[in-house]
Amino acid sequence: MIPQSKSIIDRDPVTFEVVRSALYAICAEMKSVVMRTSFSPLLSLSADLSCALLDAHGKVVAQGRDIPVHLGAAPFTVRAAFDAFPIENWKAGDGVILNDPYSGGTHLPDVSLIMPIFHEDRLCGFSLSRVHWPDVGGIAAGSSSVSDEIFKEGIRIPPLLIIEGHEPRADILALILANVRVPQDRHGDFRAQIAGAHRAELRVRELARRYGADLLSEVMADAQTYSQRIVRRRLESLPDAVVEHEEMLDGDGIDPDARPLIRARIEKKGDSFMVDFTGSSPCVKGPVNSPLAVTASSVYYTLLALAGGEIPPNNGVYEVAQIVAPEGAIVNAAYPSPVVAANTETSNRIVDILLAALAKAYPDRVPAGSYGSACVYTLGGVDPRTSRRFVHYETVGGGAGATAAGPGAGGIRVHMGNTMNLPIEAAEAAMPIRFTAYQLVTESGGTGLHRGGAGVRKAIEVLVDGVEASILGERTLSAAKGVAGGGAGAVAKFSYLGADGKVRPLPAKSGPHKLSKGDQLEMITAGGGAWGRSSNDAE
Amino acid sequence: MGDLLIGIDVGGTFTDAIVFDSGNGSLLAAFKVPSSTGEPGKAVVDAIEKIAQSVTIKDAVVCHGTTVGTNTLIERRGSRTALLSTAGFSDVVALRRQDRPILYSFDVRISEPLAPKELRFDIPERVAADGSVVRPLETSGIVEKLRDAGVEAVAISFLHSYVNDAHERALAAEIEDALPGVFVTRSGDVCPEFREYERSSTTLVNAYLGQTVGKYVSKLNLDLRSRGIQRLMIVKSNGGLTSPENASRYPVHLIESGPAAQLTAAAAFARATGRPNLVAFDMGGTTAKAGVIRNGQPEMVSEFYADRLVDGREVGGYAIRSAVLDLVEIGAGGGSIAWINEAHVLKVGPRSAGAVPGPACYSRGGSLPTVTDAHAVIGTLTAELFANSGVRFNREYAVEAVREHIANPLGWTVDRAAYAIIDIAVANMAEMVRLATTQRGLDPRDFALLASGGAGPLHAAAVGAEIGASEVIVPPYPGMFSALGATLGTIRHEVTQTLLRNLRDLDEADLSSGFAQLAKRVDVILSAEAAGHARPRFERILEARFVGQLFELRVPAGNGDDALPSPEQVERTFRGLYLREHGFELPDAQVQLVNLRLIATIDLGHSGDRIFVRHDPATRAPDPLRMVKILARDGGEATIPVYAAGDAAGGTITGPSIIEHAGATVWLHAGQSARIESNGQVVVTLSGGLQ
Repeated sequence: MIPQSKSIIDRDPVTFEVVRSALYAICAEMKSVVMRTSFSPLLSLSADLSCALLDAHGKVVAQGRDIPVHLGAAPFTVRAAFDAFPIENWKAGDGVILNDPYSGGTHLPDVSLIMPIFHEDRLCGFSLSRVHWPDVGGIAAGSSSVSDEIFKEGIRIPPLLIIEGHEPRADILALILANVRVPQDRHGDFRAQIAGAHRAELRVRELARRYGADLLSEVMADAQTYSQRIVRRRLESLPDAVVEHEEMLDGDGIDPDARPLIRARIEKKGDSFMVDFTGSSPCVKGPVNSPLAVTASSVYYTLLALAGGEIPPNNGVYEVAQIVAPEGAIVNAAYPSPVVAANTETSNRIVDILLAALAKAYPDRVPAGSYGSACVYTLGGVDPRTSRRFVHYETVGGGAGATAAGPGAGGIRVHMGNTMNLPIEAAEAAMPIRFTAYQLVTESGGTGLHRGGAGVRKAIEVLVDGVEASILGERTLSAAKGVAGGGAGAVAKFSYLGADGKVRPLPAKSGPHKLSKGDQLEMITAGGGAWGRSSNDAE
Repeated sequence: MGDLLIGIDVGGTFTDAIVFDSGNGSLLAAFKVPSSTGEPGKAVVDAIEKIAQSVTIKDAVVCHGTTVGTNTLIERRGSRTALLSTAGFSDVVALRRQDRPILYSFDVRISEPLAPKELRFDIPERVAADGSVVRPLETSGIVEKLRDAGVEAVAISFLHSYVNDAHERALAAEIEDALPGVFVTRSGDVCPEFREYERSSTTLVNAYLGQTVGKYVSKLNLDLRSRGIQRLMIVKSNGGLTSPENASRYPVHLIESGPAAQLTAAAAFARATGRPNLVAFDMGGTTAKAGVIRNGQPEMVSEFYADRLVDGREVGGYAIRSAVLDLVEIGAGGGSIAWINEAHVLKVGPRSAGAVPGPACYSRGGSLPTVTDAHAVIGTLTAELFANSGVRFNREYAVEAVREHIANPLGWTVDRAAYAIIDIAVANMAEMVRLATTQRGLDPRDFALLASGGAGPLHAAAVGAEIGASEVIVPPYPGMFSALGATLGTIRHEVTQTLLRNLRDLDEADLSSGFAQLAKRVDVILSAEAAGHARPRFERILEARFVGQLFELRVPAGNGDDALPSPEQVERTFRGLYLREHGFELPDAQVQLVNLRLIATIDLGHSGDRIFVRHDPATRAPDPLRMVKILARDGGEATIPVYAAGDAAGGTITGPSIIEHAGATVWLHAGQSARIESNGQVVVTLSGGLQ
């Protein structure tokens, strides 16, 4: 190839934009294929999955508008997969699966599949899907409960060559499926991931055929430059600052006194952005320990949103953020600490902590604290009507923090997650459960010039005996803070309401509980913080 | 002469009317009258009176695509509306699906529920998923609350009402009795499908629009009837026509009325000219739309989100479960503004200069460069086109805008900048066409591109080349496609019923009794259509999926007179369809039925063949109308011919050239050639890429 004096973004910005947009559209198409063919309501109705395209060097080039915690962790997934299977060895029709947080994963339920894309024997890149399987085994149905080591959280899958010559390897698949609940549905979900990868392969090849593989690889490289350029320009336009903030998590589900500390120091200088977590607590017994991939995702998200506007997320952006996270700290989990709640809980608290730090320098650009959680609850058991085992995993929205521009949204997923709820009518038709309330807790948002978003009350009655239940939540103790004089939001509250009328308050993380017919779980998520002093506050 | 068939489309600036003799399908008139601000019905009456000046309108049928529903929603001018929900669940419309519409932003805005908190009431009642009553309905006090709140409309949406709607019915009857004049609508009637947010949202939108749309439609109906018009028919989002009565009862089905009519016209064009696969491509001042016609039929979807873009920002919008012709819409029109982002990359849209100030070259004070300005700079739009339009066209303003905002900052020449703006706009529209095709598993190379709308023909040849379309066609009356399409619709109603059962647990009696119930429901709706039409045709659809999946495929189950397929046959058909769609199927998984759907259609007997099919092809060597100087990509000047399509019937024109066609402009590029047919349509044959 003749070396080009100028890269495609400068030489032919129009073709660049056309091909770059097409790469993003492919990610969206890939996701819709997985959703349509999957077997879990968590995927087809709640969309708990993310898709990305990588270049031939394994760098993330394009991602769908999916789940930030999935997306930010993608570079770690890719690195682990290519450490185990060097890029030069991949053949068409190979597929590598992994879920181990200590080998490129985030938490065990998020199962990644990477497949290469070849065009006329030339490696053009890879597709990556990260799909939340509703169950991957472990001590409780839904694989999102409280335990004290990773082995109890489910089956760990290190990078494995699970597809060869486009065919899944029956032996590996059988081993995995033997270790999960409702294996036939998980098998369907895995097929859906393959179907998504095939669609991505088809589309990328079309691009290669149309524009040439050389041009495609140039666009893939420049797409990263492009995003990085925008982020750096935006950072440059902000005044430099060194700010820090620390907060404690609300327990780890095991030790009633555990209040691990997360401390973040942010240095914004010119077009660089550095976050130092030195001083954070060491790992704790319960599952709130955050793998570095998850912590990094929180930093990437915060950086992208701080930079504001439509910046296509990819490796170019991620390279801007420098992260210091001491090994063994709660923000860089050490083997074999349990980690399942970091993805949904710790990650969102980290964002709130970073934002509280940034608010000291840029109060007009950042929101107040949020409900700081995904509020995951799981239910599982056997439906006597069908004798079929069921597993239910759902997240519950809460209050978003208000901003200088307006009030925080209520009952919504914030920051690192964005999965939808499961329609009550779908859940009740599929499982022996009945919802008794799903409403906004109107007064729970902090008060101020712009009010914080309202939290949510969701309550569920189980209609059969022997149902296993767990809750992973946050902010039962520490309220979401306001910014610029705004008030804090109301805290979260979780309860077990027995069929006999007994009420037992539950901590932020607990389970697995055994529920009997007529028992209820009630979850009230926290409200968001307010922005600004309200006009009738006394000065 | 037979009775008249009149199509009317009310736009922001003009109201289009097109008049056919329904006896032989011949076109009698096509014209525009100015729209009347705030009173869309007036322009309709104006148009009818104008028609009455030359022909008798007695017993005419008026088919009308209306944006009254959409505008009422977008401008939040609907009724004061209450929502009555199962106790504990009255926030479902505010909680939505809990996801946010934008990811990497702190300032998330979400469409506010159309019924505010103080008008959302908890009603004690509960039905389980199997339809059994868990808690009986208690209605005491609700009528007083509604009366005290002064509501004009009421939506009722209870959990699982798609299985058992007895509670909804009882409460609706009580309110209707007690509060005459209040518009009452319930989810089991509007949208008896599972998923509480989507069903409640649909019902609430229906309630919110009920009074406004009802008043508009019934007043217009009276106005027209008093002038001797036999019947008014309204275009629904599915492209079908309905009576004023049904339109008033289900205004939520009219949200995409105007665009649907356009796709109906495109489908009729496809059938009339023997081109089964078309992409209907429309570009106006602020937006562009693409919709797919396959095998002569428009693609249909059953859910969409209304009003989800506010000032170019995603805010979620309102879920509507309703059969809608499938359209992809983007913010790219002639008025879209070109700008440079932080990475020094040229962008076009989604911001638009709108009608005011409009493109710089319109001399209305606009100073930002738009797509229209880029054409003015190049010379593909010239002053001649704007004669008698009220626009004072000035190329210099366009040159200045492009120079200052694009060319100088990028260090480019003005002509390079102008071509780049058009290239980006074309790329955006090509991406939109890909969304409408490749994202749905279709290859755009199997489609011809049919261009309509003010700016559609100008870009069609370039967009067509970019997506690799087989040919590009500019049909007769490209600027009046909505009005034309209104007259081409059939009366079409779809009713659905959820029947969530594994196929293996079903027998034929379950299917036949399910369809019998649907037939009863559709009969009630059809009885509200005026008599005198042809007999309805019934089409049965089963929506099925593998157990555990949540997306259904539509399995055809024959027409009204056919025997119902057995559950085994349905399963075989489903598996075949699934394999075709996804490339694999799951032999071990059971197939589950989700919905029965019955579609009733009544033909009005108008096909559009007379205007779309060309007759007696003449052969004339076309003479150019004039020559025009345009800027070339390399900055040089080129002189190219401008033809009038009307003068060139039967001839072939080669690019580069410009063809003026029924008020629109077609830009033919080098290497392209176009055939002009005797009915005025321009067919561009594409040979390779653009030069």
